[in-house]
Amino acid sequence: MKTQSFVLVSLALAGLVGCGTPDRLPEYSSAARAGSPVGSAVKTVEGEGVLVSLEPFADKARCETYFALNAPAAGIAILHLRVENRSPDTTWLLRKAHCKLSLSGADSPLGDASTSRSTASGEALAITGAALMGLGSTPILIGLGSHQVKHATTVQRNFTEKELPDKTLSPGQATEGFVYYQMPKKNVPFHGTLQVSLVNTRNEHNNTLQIPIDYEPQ
Amino acid sequence: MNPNNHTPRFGLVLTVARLLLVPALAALASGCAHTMNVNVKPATLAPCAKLPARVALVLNKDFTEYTHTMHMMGDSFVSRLGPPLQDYAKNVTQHVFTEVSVHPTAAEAAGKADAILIPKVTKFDESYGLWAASKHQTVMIMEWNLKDRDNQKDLWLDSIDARGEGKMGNAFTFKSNHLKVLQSLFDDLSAKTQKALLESPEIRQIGSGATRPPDARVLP
Repeated sequence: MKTQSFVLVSLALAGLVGCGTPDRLPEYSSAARAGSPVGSAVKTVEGEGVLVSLEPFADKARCETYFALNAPAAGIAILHLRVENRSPDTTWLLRKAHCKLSLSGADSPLGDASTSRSTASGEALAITGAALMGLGSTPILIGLGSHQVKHATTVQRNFTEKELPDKTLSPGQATEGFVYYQMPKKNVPFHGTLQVSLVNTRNEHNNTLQIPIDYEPQ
Repeated sequence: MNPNNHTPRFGLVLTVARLLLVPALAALASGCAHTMNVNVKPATLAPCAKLPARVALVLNKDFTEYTHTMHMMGDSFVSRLGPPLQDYAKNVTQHVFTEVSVHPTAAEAAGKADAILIPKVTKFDESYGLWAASKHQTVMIMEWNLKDRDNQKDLWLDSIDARGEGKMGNAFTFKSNHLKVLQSLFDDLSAKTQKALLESPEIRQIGSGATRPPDARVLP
């Protein structure tokens, strides 16, 4: 009886203390490091006055810091993109839908950002659902379910907040954010090319830049 | 207790409990849908000099009938965001531009002003816990697209990332707390949209003739 009370009180306290997921996960910006001799993980290409920097987020530690999720283990490839318009007089239109990731030797591009984001949310919410179905019948255990709900919904919201925005870049403007893709296999390295296409708003000319990717989960 | 030693009264209770189990589980599985009208007040915007341009604002059906559904503990909470979204779009554009006309489609707006502005909700997400004291945080990604007067070309596009937050509240305060969260979201959205419109070099060119196609002629 004593043990049972102890277990119940412990569960109640665990429910009240709060889960490990903070309300807001830290923001990430590569702008602070621009121009400095950064690690070899960042690849940069330039074409027609547009500079694109790509940084794969393939290590578990950084994924957990910024996304509260071991993304490679969940089969999600997270890539950070920074796009800068250095042309003097051209406005470029950037859309996530025009960022395509192709595997070396594969014809078709990988699942796009929205597909992968859904997967991330799907996995997180599947955990929540199981927790609620199994645990949510008593007040104490609803507390535990609440943490699962909070974790899952925070992960999902954070993916949305950090996503690369669709926008036009006027001369001198830059933008940055993450794009998410479905990995061919969970936690398995892959090599490919990210194709970023921008549209010149004056004449609708396409500027396509290709960046090689070596995604190696650590 | 030996399960076979039931008194007749206990056996009756057990039978009733068993009979109630299936409808109880069915009720849990189906849940209830609660529809909530979102009566947020239009945000008070910072004073600014109006841009001298005539803009055709397109509020299409996807925008005016936009809803968001929150699933919690088997229940669905449907927020009708269409009316506050319309108020927000009109409030901000009328504050920034000298003349704004409203149209239901881009095709109907073509040729009616110096340029066409189309807002669109691209994403809405929220995080929450199940306790009354849990934080409730929302994010809305609103895309604004400026097209030339003939609806042919994209001249400018921006994605505004607006956030709102508050407490979840209990069974009695959930709806009012939810409204406060959405009010803070729309206040943030309005301020950020005003800033984005005013700071865009492409938008400042509207009405100056720079957005007309090269072969356009101004009649004497």
